Amino acid sequence: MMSPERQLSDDMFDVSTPLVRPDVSFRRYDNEAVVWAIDARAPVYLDPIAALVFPMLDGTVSIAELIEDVHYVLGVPTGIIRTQLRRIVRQLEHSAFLAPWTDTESPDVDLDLFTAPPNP
Amino acid sequence: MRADTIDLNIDGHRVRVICEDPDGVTTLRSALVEHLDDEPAPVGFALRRPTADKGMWVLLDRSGFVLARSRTSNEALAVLGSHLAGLVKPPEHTVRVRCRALLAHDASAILAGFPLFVDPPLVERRLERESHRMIDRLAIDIGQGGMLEMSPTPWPELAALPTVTGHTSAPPSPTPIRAMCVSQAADEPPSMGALVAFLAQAVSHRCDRAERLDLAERLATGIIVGVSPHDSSASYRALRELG
Repeated sequence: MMSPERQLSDDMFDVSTPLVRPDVSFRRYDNEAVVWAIDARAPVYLDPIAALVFPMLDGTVSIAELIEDVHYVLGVPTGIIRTQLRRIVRQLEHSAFLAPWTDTESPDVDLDLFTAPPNP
Repeated sequence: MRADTIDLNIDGHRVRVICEDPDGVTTLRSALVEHLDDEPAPVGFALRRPTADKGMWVLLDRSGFVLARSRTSNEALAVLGSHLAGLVKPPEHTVRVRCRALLAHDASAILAGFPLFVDPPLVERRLERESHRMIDRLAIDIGQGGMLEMSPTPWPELAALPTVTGHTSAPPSPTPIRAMCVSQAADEPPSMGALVAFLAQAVSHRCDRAERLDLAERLATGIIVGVSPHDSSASYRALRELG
């Protein structure tokens, strides 16, 4: 399945409210973390920014609000934070750690017709 | 040169061995008679005979990584026998972890995360110089006390073959783990979080996720030595420094 995140404009991305699946376990190590969903083959490492925002992805907080919060805490320019959040959301989507996308107007995306074959 | 294939079923693991030594095929068929399988199995290991320019027998895994180089076919078969023993069910109350391990001269073990000693391939003579031997298993079994607890090669015909320079079969008694070498691309060794994520993937899927993370945390809190994967001597220097 193609990631809807990749298709979104900044405006649409900012109003989206990502929701982490409730069965994802979260372990913090200093300012980093490791997360793992019940049916995922492998855990995912979260760098400090990802570990900071991950607990806030509860489906009620918009990306725009997250950008403001991280900017307030770390003082990082908002454009850089948005880029980082796109990377984080893409990583979590790829690992199927997010509940179905909550944006109200996801654009049409083509089906991924060809998936990589399994390793022999 | 004709290569023969031997299809095996060892405790449910189906694996094909490709062998370019007719005598070796006879030895393997005799030693592993109760595991012979009529159905074609996925390739697991390949034993290549010496070529004109390289006078060593070479044992490869299914990905083409060199597991051992030896002067004689029987030495390579000894290494192969130990690797095949790694397909046998792990001992009770142990957890299997996909990881290479080396046995030091003081009978302690040093773990090595991928790709160390795999790519570039290990050099047996250099291992010997550092007084270490590679344990010929692609996975290790860790007991509840945190020591290596691995079952021996169960086939007498293969277990009795001559040992190879720089290699050893699984240690016969519980073996303490002294340190772990991990690939380190940057100046800093991997962080705790990155290590836990890396190691948890290698823990047996028979454990639940919490158990896998717990074991990964235990391993990650031991002595960790970062080794540059781009420096072919770095792994051996790390062994020397570990003593």
